Amino acid sequence: MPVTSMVGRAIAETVDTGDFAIFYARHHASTLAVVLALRGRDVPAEEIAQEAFLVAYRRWDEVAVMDRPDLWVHRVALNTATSRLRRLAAEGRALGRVVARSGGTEAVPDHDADVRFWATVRRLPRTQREVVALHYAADLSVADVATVLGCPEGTVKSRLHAARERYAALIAEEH
Amino acid sequence: MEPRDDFDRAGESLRERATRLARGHDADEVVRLARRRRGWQGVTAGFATIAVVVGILNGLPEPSVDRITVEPLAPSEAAPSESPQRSNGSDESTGDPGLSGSPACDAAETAAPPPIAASLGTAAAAPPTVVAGGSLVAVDDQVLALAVEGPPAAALFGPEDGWRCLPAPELTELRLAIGGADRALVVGGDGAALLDPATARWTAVPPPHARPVGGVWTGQDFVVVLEAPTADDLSGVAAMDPDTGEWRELAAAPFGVNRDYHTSVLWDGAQVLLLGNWLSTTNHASSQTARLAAYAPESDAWEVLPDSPLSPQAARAAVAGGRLVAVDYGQVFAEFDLDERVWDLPVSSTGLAGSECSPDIAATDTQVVITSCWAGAVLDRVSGEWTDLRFDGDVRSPVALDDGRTVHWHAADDGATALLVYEPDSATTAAAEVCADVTGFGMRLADTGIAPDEAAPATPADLADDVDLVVAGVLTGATEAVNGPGPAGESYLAFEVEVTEVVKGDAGTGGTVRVSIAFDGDPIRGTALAADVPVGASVLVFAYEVTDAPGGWVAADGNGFAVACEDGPPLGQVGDGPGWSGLADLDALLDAAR
Repeated sequence: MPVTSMVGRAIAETVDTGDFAIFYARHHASTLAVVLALRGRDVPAEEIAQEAFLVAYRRWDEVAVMDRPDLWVHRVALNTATSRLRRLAAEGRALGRVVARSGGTEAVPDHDADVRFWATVRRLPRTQREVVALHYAADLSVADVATVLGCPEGTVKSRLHAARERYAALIAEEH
Repeated sequence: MEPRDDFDRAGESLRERATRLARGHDADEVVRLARRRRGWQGVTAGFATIAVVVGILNGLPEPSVDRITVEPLAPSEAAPSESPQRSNGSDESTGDPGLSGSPACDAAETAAPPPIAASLGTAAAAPPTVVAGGSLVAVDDQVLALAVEGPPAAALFGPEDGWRCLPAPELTELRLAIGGADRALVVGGDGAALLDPATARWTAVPPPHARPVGGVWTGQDFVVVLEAPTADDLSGVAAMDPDTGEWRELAAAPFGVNRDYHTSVLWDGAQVLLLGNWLSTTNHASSQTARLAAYAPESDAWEVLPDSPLSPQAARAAVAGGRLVAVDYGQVFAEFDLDERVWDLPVSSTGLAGSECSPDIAATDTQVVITSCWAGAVLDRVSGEWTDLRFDGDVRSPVALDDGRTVHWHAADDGATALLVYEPDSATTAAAEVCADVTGFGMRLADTGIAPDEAAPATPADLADDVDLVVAGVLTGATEAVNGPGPAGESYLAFEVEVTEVVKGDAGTGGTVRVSIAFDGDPIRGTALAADVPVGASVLVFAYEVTDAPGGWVAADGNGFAVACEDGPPLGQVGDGPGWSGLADLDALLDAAR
């Protein structure tokens, strides 16, 4: 259903909220997984993912016609998760959103092993933790990761390899 | 096919977790958020005049002043969806065709302005080295501003001196700042430091033994409440005498707290007050409402006070006039009588709509100022009446001054930052404008939406070794953008620099080079970066030779494009760490790069 709000008029000319809602439903969890992998904390991560979709919504006329708008949103989410100012803004807005789901969503336990794993991943260099987040958390193929990052597939593979080696070294240091 | 390993298992587990979290959200939230922001931008454009000035307090020389004028809106104007007024008709940067000319917009623009009841605010430029969202604390008779993330760059604002940039304490991040009578305590991720504002010197001190959630100055000690590891743990409490710089353990709090933005630690002149509770990462609280307790230093004992009637999420409090005042994200407002030890019931409302934002609150004897992102409300404690405020950006981190005013961070959507002073008596204040354009430009440079890949090279000389070009010069104002928003989001924006000195590379003194920076392609950010380039401002760039950015040079990611006010510290994309801190000006950076 098109947006018809007076204030939303500027967006309404191009946004079909039905299409956007479908896009959101399909790709929100995957985008959220990437941000969770990179940031760790649930509530700000949810906000950061929302910010990425907000950017997509504002530019839906451009985004909707892309071959893979989901990959574009992943890129925006990466940028947002690593931009100090954007992240601050998102964290500041983080709280009200939980109202809507308070009482209606079961607690999501943090498994210690997973928490440790992703905490260690976040100690990797940015280029490495990004490929890990996209490949393993979002379950993107190497080709898709390459598209998101704008680099060759070979670079993604080498970064994944380096990430695994660095991860192993960090784990070894801890023991 | 590779065998399943930790990476596969952790990825699958995280996707399941994300899927469960995502169930609580839908696209309507995004649509509502888009509408709300657009609405706020529209309504505030008609009321707020923003310019950057540096002085904010009384006693400064008489000058011409540009102020943020924040005027209260009539209640009927409160809903953002009913506020289509815009300053102009179009916004090419966002593709927004604007609303001017539409029947609804015309009607709004010709309507009588809302009544003005009270309240003026004035803006002050953010201190040169501090980014938006920083922390403000009152120390002595000054305001200490600190960057909230990264190395905590710092500056002091005082009525006599205006802004005074400080050397940054050598801490990796800012976790807590407390203002005292003549010193401030800053706790970072790997240490702590005391600031003596009289000498502008930092003294390294040990950090508390756990992450601090909040703290106060009691007149003798800095007292910090520490993070409880789990919901079943109590929060430890520690005190530092700034004369010795040593911590001592105090009695543990009667409940645990773990997040600074859900917790308030306050001092009412005789006791430490703790409001909050423990929240899981999924925001499940340890109690039905925010809890309250009081600590008496003379007996080293806590008293459990009645639980608050406020949400356990995002309840924030302040103390003034013998009462604790508190608000939660639903804009429920409550007061606690510190003498009678009871909450006033029933609770009231600030009148603001429940917000997505964690609220902030500041109180003086005569007023309570509550801000929540782009909106605010002021309670006249004499009349009991609330007045709405609107802002054109996020407003945070309030500090109450002894004279009754409150100071707040103001971060506009385009990244420009300022301080906003709320003055209950509508008095105007002013000061000379200093370096605001360079400061703003430096801040925009620092936030390109793309974080640097790695930590900066250890020293400027190390970076100079890495790059192909190191030159000092001045900005001519010419810019060029390429690569527009593409699938990966990045764009390049080149700034022309008239070269005054060459440290390395193929450039001639007196000639020009165009050095690009990469940004994330956001059109609003791009417009802000290209607009208002401070022509003539001094810069120092470290750049790589490239083929895909205009000019053939691109600044080293995150560290390679410094700008400065005259004799001011390097701003913009400058490295962090010990090898980069404490550089007084661009000449010092230039020397360090050789």
